Amino acid sequence: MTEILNVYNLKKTFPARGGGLGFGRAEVRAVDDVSFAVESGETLAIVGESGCGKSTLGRLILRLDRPASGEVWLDGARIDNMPVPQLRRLRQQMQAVFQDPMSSLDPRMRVLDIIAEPLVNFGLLKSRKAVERRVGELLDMVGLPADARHRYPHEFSGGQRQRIGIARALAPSPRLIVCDEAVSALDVSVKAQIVNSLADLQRELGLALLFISHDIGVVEHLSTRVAVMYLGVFVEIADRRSLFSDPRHPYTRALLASTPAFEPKDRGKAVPLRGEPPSPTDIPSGCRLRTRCPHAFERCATETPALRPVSPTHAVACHLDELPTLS
Amino acid sequence: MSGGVETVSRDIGFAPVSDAAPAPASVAARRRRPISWELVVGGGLLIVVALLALAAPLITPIDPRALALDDRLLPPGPAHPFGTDGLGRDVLSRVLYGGRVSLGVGLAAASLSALFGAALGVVAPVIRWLDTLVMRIVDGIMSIPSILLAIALVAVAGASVRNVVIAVTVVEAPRIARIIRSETLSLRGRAYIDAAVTAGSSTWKIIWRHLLPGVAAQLTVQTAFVWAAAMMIEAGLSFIGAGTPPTTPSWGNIMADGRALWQIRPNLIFIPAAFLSVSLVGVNLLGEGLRKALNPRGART
Amino acid sequence: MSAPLLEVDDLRTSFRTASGPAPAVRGLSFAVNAGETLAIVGESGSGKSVTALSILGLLNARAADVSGRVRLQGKDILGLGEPALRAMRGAAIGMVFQEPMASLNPVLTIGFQVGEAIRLHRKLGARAVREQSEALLRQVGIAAPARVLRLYPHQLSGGMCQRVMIAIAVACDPALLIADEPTTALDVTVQAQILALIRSLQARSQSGVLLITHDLGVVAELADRVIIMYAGRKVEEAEVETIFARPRHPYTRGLLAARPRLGVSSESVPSRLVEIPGSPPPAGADPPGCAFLKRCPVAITVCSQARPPLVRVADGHVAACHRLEPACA
Repeated sequence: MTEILNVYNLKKTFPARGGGLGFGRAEVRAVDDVSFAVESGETLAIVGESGCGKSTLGRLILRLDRPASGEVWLDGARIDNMPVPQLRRLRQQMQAVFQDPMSSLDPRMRVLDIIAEPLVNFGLLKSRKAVERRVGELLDMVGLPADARHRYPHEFSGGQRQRIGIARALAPSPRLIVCDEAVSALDVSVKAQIVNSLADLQRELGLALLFISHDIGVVEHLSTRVAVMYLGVFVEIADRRSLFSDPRHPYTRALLASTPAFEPKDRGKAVPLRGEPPSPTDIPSGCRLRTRCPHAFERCATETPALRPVSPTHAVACHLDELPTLS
Repeated sequence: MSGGVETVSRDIGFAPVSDAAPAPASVAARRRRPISWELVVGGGLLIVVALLALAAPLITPIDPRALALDDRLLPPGPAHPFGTDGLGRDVLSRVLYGGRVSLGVGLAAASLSALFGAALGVVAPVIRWLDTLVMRIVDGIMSIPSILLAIALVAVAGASVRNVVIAVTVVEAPRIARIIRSETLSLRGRAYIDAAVTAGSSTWKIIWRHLLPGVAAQLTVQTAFVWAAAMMIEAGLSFIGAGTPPTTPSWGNIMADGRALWQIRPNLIFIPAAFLSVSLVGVNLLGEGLRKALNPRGART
Repeated sequence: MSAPLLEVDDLRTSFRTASGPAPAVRGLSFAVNAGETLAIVGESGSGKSVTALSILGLLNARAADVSGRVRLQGKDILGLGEPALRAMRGAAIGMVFQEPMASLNPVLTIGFQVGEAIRLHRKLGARAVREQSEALLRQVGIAAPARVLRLYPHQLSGGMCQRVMIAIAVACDPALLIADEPTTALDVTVQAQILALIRSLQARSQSGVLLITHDLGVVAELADRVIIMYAGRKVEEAEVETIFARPRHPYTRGLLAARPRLGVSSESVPSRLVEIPGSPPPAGADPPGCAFLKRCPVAITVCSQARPPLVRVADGHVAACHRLEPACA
């Protein structure tokens, strides 16, 4: 299993709008030293709530934004500082499915042209006929009728549009697909279809998926490994089974515990995390969670915990985990 | 491309967001109503005036520049349906041929403004440094009242039809540039632009394939309005003698010639003014009709 | 048993579009009692939000036709004129909508908006209004209410804004609270807090709550009774435990089965989510048979010919499906 994506110490900051009192411009540290790798054939899910920086991370990986520092390596080539013409060719290996089915397809283009765009750009097929045939195959792969080719996006429902987006992402046969909240805007019944489709396609084609989402339930179904993100950093990263059966970080536990009841008899058991997430311009010193963590102690304010492995496939960034008495 | 416009279909087959909206647009795919009365009336008026201007030789055999010093200031009659002016020239003929200039200058200036304005407006947001530069220049030009700027340009370059077109273009292109730039900015943030980047499209390809078609509707509408403004500026320039040279008739300079004599022969001013007004109303209604046809009401997808 | 707080009888709402009338709600009837939470569940196009807007009289009369009977505390409210409706909204009925940031006026302080909610229905001096506003904010769990009153909506997080919305909604002790997707736009940790808040407020005031949502988790947390809507009609109604334990309509079953379950990662075989094929129908479509036909795993011939009526399956449990087994009791 080769590593298709490698990310080292990625950082991205934005100037805050109107934030920060007094002198100096406040900054939002959207992504603050994140490192990870994705192997081909696996799904790495990045879970977090709004403002945690996961979408920014996705954009940095896709090079829709440039990182402030750090490195992104795709298939053995460093892409974060690669010149644009070279990068463009490499993009064939890394495609994306976006969140909003309404705005992720150009309303003025026919489905055929939308899906064919990467094929044309990367010069993958020689004749128009070959392109049309491939588009037909892709539509079939995502479960859309062949006559969809000549229609416009507005003639399709949200779930169908997402399928068109998936077909477009699959068109150049990439090795990695970044899904940025790809199912969040869909109805419950349609969400299940798309999640299943993604899982099937990944299995058939051996793709690597980077699945960014706030929906823990979907993540549990789809992922091989999960990284939990809070205010710009990974607080825990583990294989799926470990994370869900043995969550170590208090934030992960809170996320899992906050999920609403599955059945009425479980109501009221959700344990809300205390307080509000701190303002992203005013991140607490030391561990970011300490203002809301029920177990915070002195060291949490002075020293930022680093991601430390507690098993070969499970790493946590929490001082509690280093205490010898913690089970 | 028949799909060159956006239709509103607030597709409700997907989002778990509130599926209601106060506007009916969210409930079913809306059929656009492309033919509004503005489009019909405006287009009709323009076509009538344009046909009259183009058919001038068929309507009157009299040369608009032919002097007839014995027939000066005749009232409307069978030989001269609109009378003659101070130099004996047939007013009908002058007004019809003048229409070619006024409408033509307007259309030419509008087209050039659209070309330059769109080029600047679409490219500027994509290339950052160009954006600041262009917008400051645009701001500078727009801070000068259009007529004054046009006068100044013509004064420098000399009065001729070509220079009037150039002057009006310089004055109006910035306005279009600004509007198109703002449309482009809003389109650029859409996910499908990110998707195009991810799909490997180059910047120019994105401009050509995605951004330009996206602003085409707004551009068409604005061009119509610029056509109206251009006609007015040309008429104004010609009226004060800084526009179309007096040898070539245009509505503006016909009115200028008739200014001193309007108490005796009011038709010398009112007839070209009437033609100008009808044309302006036509173009403005056409612009409004185009706006309704090309920009659906309600939320854009 | 006392009369229901809210009675809706054969509500029909249809939008006037360029291509003809588009019905969004087709004959919905239900009741909400004081002290209970009724959840209306549905996906896009089900008509659930339109129902709330119709009850509140918030639909533009030129755009929508609303008919039927809606009675609040015995009084007919559907035919009321705008002044009477305005007096009702905020006083007798409190409303909480989905997007907290968008529901608050961005150029007015929180204090002004909460105060306005109080001032519209009660005659109080400025100091009394401020004190009540602070008390309200404290009641919804905002610490340091005096400071928050001076802030503007953009300075608050989504969760805080939603708390403010709830404070405004309950400012005048309404008998009925209508909440349309109150937590959909919120993070899950904040959602847990807001759900707990709604539950405690209701317990204290014994108001009725009409909860509109697509999220069965929220239903499990809050609802006493549940109505499932599909394509503008009610397809099932029951107490919440019954809906989760013994759903009868195929759509209800499909919705329940399509939920990702926590704990699936401990199973050895990767599991698929149960799908409902197809998508919710666009509003306006009205096939002769059952609207769920194209997506139903158990459809039979009669389903394409006749729309199934709502039949009583058990006490307090109705469903509209041709494939229901005959009720045993």
